[in-house]
Amino acid sequence: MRKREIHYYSHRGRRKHPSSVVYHLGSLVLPLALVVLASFAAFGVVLAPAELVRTSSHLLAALGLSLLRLFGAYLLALVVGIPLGLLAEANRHVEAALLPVFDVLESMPVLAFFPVIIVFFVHAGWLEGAALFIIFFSMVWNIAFSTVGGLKVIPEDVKAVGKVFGLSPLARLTRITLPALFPPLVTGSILSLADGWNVLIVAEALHAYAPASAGASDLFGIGSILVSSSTQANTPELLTAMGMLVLVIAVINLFVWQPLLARAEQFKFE
Amino acid sequence: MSDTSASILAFDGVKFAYDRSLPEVIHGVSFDLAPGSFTVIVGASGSGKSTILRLAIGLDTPTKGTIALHERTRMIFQSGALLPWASVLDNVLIGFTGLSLAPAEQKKRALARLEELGIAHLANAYPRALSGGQRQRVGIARALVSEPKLLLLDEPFSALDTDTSERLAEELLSIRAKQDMTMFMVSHSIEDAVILADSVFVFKDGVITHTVPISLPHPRRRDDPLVVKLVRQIKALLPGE
Repeated sequence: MRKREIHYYSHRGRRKHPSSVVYHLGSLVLPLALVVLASFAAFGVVLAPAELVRTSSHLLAALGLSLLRLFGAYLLALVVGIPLGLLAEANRHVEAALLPVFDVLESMPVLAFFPVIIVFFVHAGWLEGAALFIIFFSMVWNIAFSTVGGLKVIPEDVKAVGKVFGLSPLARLTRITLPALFPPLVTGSILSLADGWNVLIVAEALHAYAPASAGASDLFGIGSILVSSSTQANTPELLTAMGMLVLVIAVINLFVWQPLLARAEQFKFE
Repeated sequence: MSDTSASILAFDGVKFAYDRSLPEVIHGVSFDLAPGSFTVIVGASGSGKSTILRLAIGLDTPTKGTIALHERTRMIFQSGALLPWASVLDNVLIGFTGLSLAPAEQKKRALARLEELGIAHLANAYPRALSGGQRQRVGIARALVSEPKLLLLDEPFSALDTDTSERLAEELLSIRAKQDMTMFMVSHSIEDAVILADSVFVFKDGVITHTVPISLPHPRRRDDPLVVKLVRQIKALLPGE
């Protein structure tokens, strides 16, 4: 019987690396070990099990809420980013008009506008919207540019198949274009989520950005807890939150991105 | 583009430029394919002969002139143009688009066509696992399942080794013998053109400069003196080739 090989897939450089279960577990264990070592070096403490249990349930709820925020913004980025990419590639005149706009928007330091965004959403009575919007804005350009890049590498012959065989525009989109976009969108999603995690911390710790007059308080989530526990010198909570964050990112890599990257190999043109 | 029942494929004074700011690559091409004929258009690489096929199928629009095309037209692509995420069977099933045929019947006919081309055992395989010849056979099966009246072929043998391309050429001729089908192929190989065609269009500088009828009986051998002579004659019409 042929031995089943396990590979570790990377969205950068080489498509896949020979690997084993040990390496997969390593992607979980190594980041956690680094957090423990860093905490010991920085604070001279390692968390006691009792403290871990005490802080964990509170932090798990915060982590769950942060994940909801992150994936809500990610879904929104997919819903907006893919049509934006498709629109930009609709024809070369639209592309010439839209791509410079996308380039500018992508380079925009969105945090500079965060106070205004917060005030807007406070007035709208939906503070959560400010966090969602800023996370969405940090993600959407990766999705849009992945779509544009993915459309450019579909071979002309494959694009022609839809027309030659009489597929309707909708069938062409669902049977040819979207499957062809799957590999670049997986890569774009990995980059988007990475950007999203960075912005999440700021997006939840609203007090640092909101004008005093806006009366905006922090949103409950792992990001705001990281900031508050740090400023309050609550070391056990800070270290547990950091550990949880690293763990959940590693778990997402292992159980979401790895299978999707492996599946994306089947969708690539040679 | 229009569709008339009388014409299989007819070009009338067709001109084309990729952009208004660019020079024309097609300067006024006219022809009318006879039903059941096998015509090959030969020309230098980059001369724009594949553009004739793209215009015929509606992928490009002529800047001037008209094209009449039979509605039951299919195409075989240089690269096979298979969808990597779909199995061989699913790729072939795309060929039934627009036909009102029950899915079970579609599957039965697709498998029969794959069987005829000797690749039925690969029905559940994915294009990545196939050789160049097998991919091209899948492309042929996809084009033929709907029993088209006109088959367009864009350099179908150019990515294949000599043995495979000769075998596929024989298979194409046998398919044509069984089905009432017109074939129009673009090729840079004058040998392939003489082996397969009833008529060869010589395409140069954006126009068809000569039409060479080939009346040799099938099967034709590449080392047949008459074939060699015809190849030499057509090469003489294409200096630099």
